[in-house]
Amino acid sequence: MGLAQRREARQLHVPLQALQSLFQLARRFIGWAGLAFALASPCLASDWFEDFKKSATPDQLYAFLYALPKGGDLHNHLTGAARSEWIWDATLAQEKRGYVNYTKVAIHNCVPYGGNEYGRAPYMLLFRNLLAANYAKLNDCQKSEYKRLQDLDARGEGRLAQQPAPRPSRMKAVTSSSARTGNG
Amino acid sequence: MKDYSRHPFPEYLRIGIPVALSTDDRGMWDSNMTDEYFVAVREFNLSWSEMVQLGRNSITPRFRR
Repeated sequence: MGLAQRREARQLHVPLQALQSLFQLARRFIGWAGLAFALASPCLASDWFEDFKKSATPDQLYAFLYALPKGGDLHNHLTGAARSEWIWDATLAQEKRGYVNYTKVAIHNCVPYGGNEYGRAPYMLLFRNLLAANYAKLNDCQKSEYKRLQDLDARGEGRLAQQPAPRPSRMKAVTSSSARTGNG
Repeated sequence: MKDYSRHPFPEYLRIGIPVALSTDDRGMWDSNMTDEYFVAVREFNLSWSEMVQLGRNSITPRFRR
């Protein structure tokens, strides 16, 4: 439920309009001077925040939290920090420079029983990527399990149409790419 | 975790264990710090002093020797 809830809140046109209506709301409570004073004084700030939580819509709450200094993001893995769209775009850009990638989209039981599924290259793992040179070494059965990355587009487009609009705020430049990975 | 009411976060926070909110893998979870605070405020009704404390908790260990 968390993800859907967050998605719903993120659809809103976050910064400007939401912040404006947020400040109108805040002004209704205590006025500008009161707001400045409340933020400086822990006691009044907590009163303001309790009132705000009761009356704010989800988008007003999200806009407030977006603007709030939130300290540090202490636990954030570098390898997991990139959005899939960024990796997709970067990989396709490399393709134009000769690095063609294939990804596994099906399992046709091309390999006999007894492989090591706990090793570095488990056979049953989908979306394992291969450079074209390694793809070329596969037998025909195994080749039929792979697709070129850019060929994933066709089904990705259809799914994209059903998805809600891309996130509104600072990520706009990145998600404007229409490319999306489908699942084969 | 299916249910936020079973999450240990508010208990840790309210008995004084230093906890902070983080995204873990923002690309994989499609999350950001605002999302994390949004869920925490809605699910655990964070007070203003708890919000401030979370921010402090995320910064002070960095400067401790």
